[in-house]
This record gives sequence, structure tokens and C-alpha cells, in this order.
Amino acid sequence: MRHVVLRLRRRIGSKLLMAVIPGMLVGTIAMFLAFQQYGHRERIIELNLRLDSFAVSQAATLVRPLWEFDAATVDRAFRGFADVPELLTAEVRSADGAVMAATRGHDTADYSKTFIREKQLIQHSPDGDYNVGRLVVVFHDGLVRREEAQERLAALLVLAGAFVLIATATSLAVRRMVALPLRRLRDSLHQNAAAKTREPLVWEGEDEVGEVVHAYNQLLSEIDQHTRDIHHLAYHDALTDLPNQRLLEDRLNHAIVVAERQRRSIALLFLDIDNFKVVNDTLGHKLGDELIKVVAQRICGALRMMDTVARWGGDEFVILVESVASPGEAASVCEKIIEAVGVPISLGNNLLRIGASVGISLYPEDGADVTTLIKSADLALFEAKGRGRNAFHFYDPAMNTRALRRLDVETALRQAIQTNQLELHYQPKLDIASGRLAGVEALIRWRRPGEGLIPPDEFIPLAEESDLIIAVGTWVLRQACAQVRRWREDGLGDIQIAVNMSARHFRQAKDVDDIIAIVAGAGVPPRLIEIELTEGTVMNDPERAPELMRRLRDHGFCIAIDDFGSGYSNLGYLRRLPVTTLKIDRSLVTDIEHHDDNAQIIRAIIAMGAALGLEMVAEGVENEGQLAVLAKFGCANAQGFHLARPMPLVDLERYLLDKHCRAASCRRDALAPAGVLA
Amino acid sequence: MRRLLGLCALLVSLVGTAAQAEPAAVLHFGLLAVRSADQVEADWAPVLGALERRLGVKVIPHVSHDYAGVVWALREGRDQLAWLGNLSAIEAVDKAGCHVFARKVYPSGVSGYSSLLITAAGSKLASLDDVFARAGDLTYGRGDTNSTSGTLMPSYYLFSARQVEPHRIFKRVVRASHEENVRAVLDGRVDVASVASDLLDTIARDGKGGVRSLRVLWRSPLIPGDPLVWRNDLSEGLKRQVREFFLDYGVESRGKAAGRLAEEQAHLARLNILRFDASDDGQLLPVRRVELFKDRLQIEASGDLTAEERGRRLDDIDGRLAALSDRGRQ
Repeated sequence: MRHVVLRLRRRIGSKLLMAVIPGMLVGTIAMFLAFQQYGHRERIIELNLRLDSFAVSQAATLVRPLWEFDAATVDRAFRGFADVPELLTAEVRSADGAVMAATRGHDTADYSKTFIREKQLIQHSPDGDYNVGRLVVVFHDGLVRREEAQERLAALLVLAGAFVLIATATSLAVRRMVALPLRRLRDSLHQNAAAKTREPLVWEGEDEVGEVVHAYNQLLSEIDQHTRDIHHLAYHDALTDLPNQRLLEDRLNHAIVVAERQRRSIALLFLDIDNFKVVNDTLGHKLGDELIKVVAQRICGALRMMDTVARWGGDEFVILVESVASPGEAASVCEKIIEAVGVPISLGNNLLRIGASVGISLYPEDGADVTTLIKSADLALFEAKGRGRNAFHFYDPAMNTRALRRLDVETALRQAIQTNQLELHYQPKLDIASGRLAGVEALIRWRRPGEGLIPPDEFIPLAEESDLIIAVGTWVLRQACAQVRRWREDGLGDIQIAVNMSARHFRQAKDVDDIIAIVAGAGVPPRLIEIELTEGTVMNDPERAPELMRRLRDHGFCIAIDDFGSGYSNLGYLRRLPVTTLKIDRSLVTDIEHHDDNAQIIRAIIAMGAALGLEMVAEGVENEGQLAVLAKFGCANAQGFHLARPMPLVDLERYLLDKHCRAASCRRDALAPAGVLA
Repeated sequence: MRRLLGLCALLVSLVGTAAQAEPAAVLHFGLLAVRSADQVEADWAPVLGALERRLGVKVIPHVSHDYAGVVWALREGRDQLAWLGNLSAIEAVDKAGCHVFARKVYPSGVSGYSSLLITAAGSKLASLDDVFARAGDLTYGRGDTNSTSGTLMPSYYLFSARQVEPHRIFKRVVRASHEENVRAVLDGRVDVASVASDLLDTIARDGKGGVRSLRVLWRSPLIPGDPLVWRNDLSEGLKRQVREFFLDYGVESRGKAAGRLAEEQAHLARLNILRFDASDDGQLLPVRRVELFKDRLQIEASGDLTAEERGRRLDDIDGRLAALSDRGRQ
């Protein structure tokens, strides 16, 4: 019951009725009272009229019998009066006040007001008028009251009936025009919410409810559109509008199921734009994004409609090629893509030629599930990158082993720094003319327990893929500083150590500050530390690098350009760099005896270095002939197996002592460096 | 205090005597137009002229068309003297403060008259029984409500005794003066009418109309002669002079010349009067009795009264009848 009442109270129809009914009730009652009052006045007026008419007519009839002393007639008339329902009393008095006739009405119950009329009864006669008496009639309102009571009852019944009718009609109207439409709207809302459908509500009314329904339908379609947009956003990449990782995984999943049933193959291509980072850093993110879009379009253009191209993130794309007949087909797809991407791109004011590397994994050979397939393709990509860019590579299980090893090395290296598994070897650098020591280059070695000594090219590239290289570089610097200081304390004099600095370790001001702080902290004059940078490192950030180098130089550090001549050495640019030393790349030195070209290049480099006042060091000197040519060209210093191999500290110190000793005992020999070196 | 009381008494007596000693500069004499008003006034003019001369007071005749007019004129003091019928005299005595002081003696010497039910001589109505048998086809002419012979007598003797009411049994009931009724019967406008016997005599004597073409169907017991009344507040001296005048008029008396007597008698004869005899209110008793009996019969016959009311009214009438009997014996 309570529940029902609450329900009723909650319904809008009931609420409206609750609001309307009291008003109607008050109105009805007011109307009733007004009619009652009006009716009462009318009745009283009528009563008075009847009284007047009664008094006048009875006065007229009574005059004659009174005139004639006809008591019987008067009596009969008065007896008749008693039957008049409104009559309270009637009497006739003579002029001297004596009551000549009187009567009282039969029906005098329940009255509240009386109305009185007096009439002089005049008999007209030729000799004058005679006052034959005075008629006094008193009416009462008993009958009126009774009639009113009856009428009130009837009126109340009629009003109650009308009230019920109007209330019912209002209720029905409200139900039909408001409650029913609202209920349909509500049901539609519930249904759409429950079923997550967006069924519009069919409605024909043009009233406010119709407008609401129209707005509701519009809202539904907007929600629908938004939902689709959100869905699209959730499964697509905002920049390229290509499917994103999620959608790709979904499609790949589906493709796997289909392929499994139909016993077909799938090729998954993992594509990465070569050197995208350089483009991004050089031209800015905006053009980088443009580039991504162009590449996305080109990839799509190179594929069938049914294949899926997804942006994996950054400059990586994953292409799902369904139903491949053979690995060769996948390879030809790759070639098409690489070719398409390789077409020069006009971006802003630049014309770029970029390459792309692709790793390929095949279903079912390289993986039976999404994760494995993607990982395989990723490994294959890594392999492709490692083998020179702008190429594709199929996955093979060995990659996995290598990858695992990479991972293993990375973890172990981190540990190695902490547990002092790393050590420095030193390769002496000699003055060609005097054979004296010009300095040493510190070279890192990893003495891994159980594996022996690991060469740097097995772990440094790996370390360079992450910030691990910074930790390694810092460790090397600290060791070098400590060593310089110890030598000075041991009386071996000032021996300069060259330290290789990775590009990753030479990117921001903080890196340089740290270097300066470490050297200063070690109490070593910075001139005894030579920072070796490769051409690539310097060219990576042509704006920034000179500034960082200048700071080092300002603090007294020596700066060497390593492997000079291996890249596109820009001599003009070199001029603007605060460099102290050029180290000529070993590839140039190797053929110096037989290739006149190389010899001429080295001669030019040496001449140029001399012109710029730079210290020159030839690397990779492996025999006497080379050394002789270099000496002839005027190269000041040399480094190489022919002169001295990289050696542990102990060997180096013995070497130094030996050299010191020899220099002291055979002063003559010192003048013939070739002999010394031999 | 004593002087104050004395002064008050003097004032009261002065006022009282002033009221009583009102000089009657003019006397109005009420008459009923039993015939035409001019006729009646002309008939009475000699008598009233003689009275005027006798009293030394102006006497003005006042002719009313109905008995009530005379009674109301007396009641209001407009008339001081009047000649009435017995029934109207009762009203004058009861309601107008009058007394009977004389009555008419008929030329034949009888002291009363009768009520007659007349019809045209050529009428097929031979008897009262015929009248009641065929009442539904007949028109009845009755007299003034206060007429003794025209209304009261027939009401009592003809209708109440039969426990009928005229307006119920007759086709039509009309009301008119005696003379009018006679003429109506003669003209055939009414079938039967109740009239005073003396009037017929008067009409017959005047030679007007064909009284001979009338037939009397019923004659009532004798009614005392029409009375003369005066208002009681008339001064005693005046009363005495008035009574002496009327009792002496038309009567042989000492010192009255024969010529004058003849003249007086001639004047009375025109009025169908032999002389006036002294009388008093007692003469009204028989008529009162008839009236009461008539009322009694009517009350007994009336169906619209409760038994209680009827009993009360009958007791009342019986009481009044008893009182009349006592007065009659005194």
C-alpha cells in the first residue's frame, strides 16, 4: 500500500492532479458559495415579492368583508391564510388597535428571519375614505431555508459529480498528453541504456513533448556519433588515422584465427624510419609529424586494400599482410614499401631522402600468437638495422638468441660498473720525430667472470642504446683522472690521457658540467685530459656541439676529433670548432703506402691541421713504411700496433719505466726514434 | 400637593366637559339608498327639514349605497343619527357606539315586516320546492350583506335550515339593493330574489313597475320595524329633543294643528311609515338570535373546521345565545 502511494506520488500525472485538484476544489467551493449566496438573495427577494403580493391582494379581498362586518368571510379568509407556507402570523386590527382577526401559519418550524408588511385597509366611498382596519402580515423564511437546504444538497451532488468528471477528464488528459509520452520516453531511455542501442523514438506529436522527443532523438544520434568517434579514436592513431596497436592486435588475432583454419600464412612487417630522430631533432617535431604522415600514405599506397597498416608508435609502423603464399611475396611487399618510402620527400624547404628498415615475421613459422609474431618482427627489424639500413630482414631463431644475449649483457654491464669488472687499458701515443711518449688513449675492457675479457665493440654499442653509456663514460673519466694524478704523484710526470666520449654523453650542458666537475674534483689539470669525440658526435648537433666544446676548451681541456676522415669531414666547419687535435682515421693510414690518393688526402689533412695549428695523430699505424710516410708528410704523432698495443696498467707502467730508463741511458737512441720504435 | 391635585382634577373636568359639550352645529343623518339615493333623499327631506327646524341645528342627509356605509359613518362620527335595518343596527350598536331609540310602524299598523322570496308571475316556479329542485338552473338575487330581509332571513330560514349555501346550489348569485332585485326579477335577469316586504308595498304605492307581475314564493316570520339609532355621545338634551321629535311626528298631539298633522302623515306615507314608536336595543334580539342560529348552522355544516375549533365556536355561539335569552327576559 505504502509502495503504491509512493509510486502515485512519484508519477507526474498524480503530481499534476495534486496541484490542480485543490485549486479546482477551492474554485468549486467558491462558486458553490457564490451561487448559494446569490440564490439566497433571489429567494429572499422573491419571498418579499410574494409577501407584497399577498399583502396587497389580501388587503383588497379583506376590505369588503371588513367593511360589511362579514366576520364569516374574514374568518374564512384567515383560515385560508394559515395554509400559506411562508406565513408566520396575519392579523387585522381596527383603527383603535383591537384585533379583529388573526391567524398563525401552520408551517412555522425552523425559521430564522421574519418579514413584515402592513396595509391600511381603505374602503372608498362617495363621502370619503374609511379606514376599516390594518392588515399586518408576517412571513418567515422557513420554507426558503428548507428549499435552500434541498437545493444545496442537489447542488452539492451536481458539483461533486462535475468535480469527479473534471478530475477524471484532467487525469485522463494529463495521462494521455504528458504521462504516457513521458513514460514512453523513459522506457525508451531504459531500453537504450540497457541494450546500449540507440533506437530513436517514433513520435508524431508537435507539442512540447514532441520537441523533447525530437531533441532526445537528436541527442541519441549525437551520442551514437560520439561513441563511434570515441571508438575510432580508441582504435586509431590521431596523427595518421591509421589503426593503432590495439586495433592491429585485434586484427592480427582475427587474421591468425582465419589463417589457422584456412592453413594460410601471414606476414607481419615491422617498419621503422631510418634516422627519424635526426630529422625530428633537426627540422622540429612539426615537420617530423608531417614526415610520419607522408610515410604512412606511401606505405598505404604500396599495399593492397585488405592489408592493415598500423602505427605502432613514434616512427614505427606494423603492416599485416594476410594470405601470403611464400616468404618471397612478403619480401616483394617489403621492397615495394621501401622503394615507396625512399622517394625524396619535399618537406618545408627541404628535400629529404629517407630510408626505412623492415623486419618480417611469418605466421605460423615465427610465432603462433600476436605477441610472439610482433616480437619476432621487432627482432628482425633490429637485425635489419644492424645490417645497414634501408633494408629488410626475415626473422630467424638465432636473432632471438642474440637478442637475449643483448639483454643479458645490458644487465650484466650495469652490475659490472658496480663490481669493478671494468678496467682500463692504455695505448701509448708517440711523437714520431723523437719517439717520446706524447700521451695515452684509455680503452675500456670488461673482465667478465667466467667469460674472460670482452672487447668494447661487443658491449659499448649496446650501452650506447641507453643511458648506460653515460655511467660507463663517467667511470672511464674518473679512472683516467685518478691515474693521471697517481702518475704525477709517483714522479712519472704529466701524462695526458685521451678519453672517448659517446655522442649520448655529449648532448647537454649538464654533461659538460659533470665532466668539468669530475676532473676538478680529482685535482687534475684539465689539459692532461683529452676528450675524444667522433665526427658523428659533433655533426649530430651542429648548433650545440661547438658551444659545449668551447666550454671544455675554456676550462683547459684538450679536444680531439676521432676517426677524422672516415665520414664527410667538413673542413670549413672544422675551422669553427675549438679543437686541439685531429686523429686521422686508421682506414686512411692503412693504404698510405700503396694508394697515392689516400696519401694525398692525409698529406692535405696534415697540411690543413698544421695551418690551423692543430696537433695531428695518425691512428692504426701497423708498420714501419706507414710511419715513414707519415713522418715524411710531417705528421707529429702516431698510434698503432706497430708502436704499442693497448696494454693493462701494469704493462704500461713497465713500458713507461723501460722507456724512461732507455731515454736516460741511451740518449743517442732517443734521437733515432725509428730505432726506438723498432 | 393638595392644590396640585385639585388643579389636575379641575383640568380633567374641564377637558371632559369640553368634549361632552361640543356644540352640535351640524347633525348628519345617515340613510340607506334602499331606492335611488335622490329618491331617498327627496322622500326624507321634509322630515329632516322639520327636525332641523325643531332642533335649531342644521341636519344634513347622508345617503349610503350600502348598510356598511351608514354603520362606518356612525362609527367614525361622520353621522350622528341614522335610520337602519335591524341587522345593520346590530353592527351600529356593537361596533359604532350607537343605540336604538325608535322604530318604524308600518302603514298597516303592524310593527314589523317580512323577507320575501319572489319570482316573476309568469315563472314556472310554483313553490320553494321547485326553487330548490331546480336551483342549479337558477339565478338568485340577494340583498346587501347587512340587509336583514335581503340576506339574513333567507340565509337562516331558507339555506342554513337546509344546510346549503346559496352560492353552491344556484347557478349564479347576484347581490343588489331591494329595488334593483325587484327590477331584475321583473326583467327576468334573475329567477328568484329575496326582498323586504315593505319595499314591495312602497313600490306598489308609487305605482312604479309591475309589482303585480310578481309572485311571492316564501314569506319570513315578522321582522321588527326598521330602527332609528343615534350615537351615544350625542348630548342628552339633543337626544331628548330628537326622540320627542320622532315620537311626535305624524302623531296627533296637543297643540298640533290638523293641517300640520296631515302634512306630517303625508310625508311619512311617502316613506311607507305610519309613525315611529319608541324602542331600544332590545328590538334587535330576535334578529341577533337568527343571526347566531344561522352562524351556528353554518359552523355545524362547515367541513373545513377541526372538531375542536368547531366545538369551541359552537360553545361560543351557545354562550352568546344564552346571554341573549337573559337579556330578553330582563
